[in-house]
Amino acid sequence: MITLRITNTLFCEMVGDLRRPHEHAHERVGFIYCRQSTLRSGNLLLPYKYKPIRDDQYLEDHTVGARFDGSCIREAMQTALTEGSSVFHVHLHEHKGQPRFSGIDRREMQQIMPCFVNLRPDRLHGALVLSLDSAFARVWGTDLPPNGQTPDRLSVVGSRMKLWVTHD
Amino acid sequence: MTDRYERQSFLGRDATQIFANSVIAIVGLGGGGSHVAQQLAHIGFLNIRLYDGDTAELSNLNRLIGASVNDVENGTKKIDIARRLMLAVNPNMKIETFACEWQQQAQSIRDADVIISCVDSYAARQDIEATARRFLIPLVDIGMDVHLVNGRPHISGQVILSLPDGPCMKCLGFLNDQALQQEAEKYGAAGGRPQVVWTNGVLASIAVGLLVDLLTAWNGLPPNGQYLHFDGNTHEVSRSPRIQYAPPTCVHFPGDAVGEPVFQ
Repeated sequence: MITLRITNTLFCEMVGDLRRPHEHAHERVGFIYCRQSTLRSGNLLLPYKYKPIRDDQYLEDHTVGARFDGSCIREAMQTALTEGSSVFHVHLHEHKGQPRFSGIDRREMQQIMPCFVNLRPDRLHGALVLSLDSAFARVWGTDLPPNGQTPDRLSVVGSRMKLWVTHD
Repeated sequence: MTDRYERQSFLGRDATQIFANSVIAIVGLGGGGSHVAQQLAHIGFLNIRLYDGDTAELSNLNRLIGASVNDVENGTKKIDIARRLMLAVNPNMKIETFACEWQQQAQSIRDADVIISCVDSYAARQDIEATARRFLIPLVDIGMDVHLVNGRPHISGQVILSLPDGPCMKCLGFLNDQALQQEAEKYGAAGGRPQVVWTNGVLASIAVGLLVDLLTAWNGLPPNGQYLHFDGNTHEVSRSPRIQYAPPTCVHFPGDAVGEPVFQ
């Protein structure tokens, strides 16, 4: 079982940051870094830090929502290495309700995620897409399917709890 | 067939599903915890973890919901009494019981969505909150005590909702070194660990109300948690003034101190 639990403070920080307009990119991207703990049967992912991609790291490409240069991936990989973290790529679909990854998202993740899995095979990594009031994630790891796996439980913890459960 | 939850449909269209999906841990199945357990069964929660190593004793019968003289004679565990009570209300519940201190099954509590702490010492509360913070689990804590004020017994109690990104029980001034030290010497002054069923019931009901609001937002909670004080002599519940002086974010449990503590 994989559980991803995010504080409402971090959720709001991410949404607030990702909504900022960019000079040429249509959407923004960031990374969250998580501690990975064990459950009786499975893993618990606990994000502790959000780091957005800097303005100058976006490449001009109007065929996709956002394209960024290799330096931000290298920086995220370095953080994963030095802090022993799980890494999640984060972006926002600006609507309410359950977001889903687009075809482009899924294609991009298939390229990015192996970087993190190969770097830290002892950790789970993934992608998180937010909406204004909801979230959806996919997790990659050495023992998971090549196209990733949806976490069994994803929650935003705060004065208004949000919990999404994936039933087999 | 009539929906068994139709009378609480005002909680929201998804409320029943939310209760069915949530995992709730109750630590301590005595006077407070037994009330909580019973209410969770009625509301429609399905996934429950119960932690308590004690068996029912004669002195528990003044408040332990569901307990009988037979349970005392048979030495029935409090968790088994609560389990029996809950399954009688809803046989579909999945109830895991741990007849031990919760720390001995610490990994099992990590996947709870909310912990309800019904323990009777400051030290135990401190331990539970530390774990709840590390694993980003909201904690609802209840407790009561009886002190002698001008020679007369005075009942007081508290219900605290401690959220991972809000002030903790130390920030709120409820837990402090002095209280912990005094506890080591004496807890309460109106007889050994005074407890009464009606105060336990009030505090447990408030805790369950906070839990339901936390999960459904049917009414809306303050963003940084809650600290309610119960005066058992006047029967009044009020928001503790301490909460307005607490820092908006916790200074004792930094946001990056999550997961198992490890050396980097």
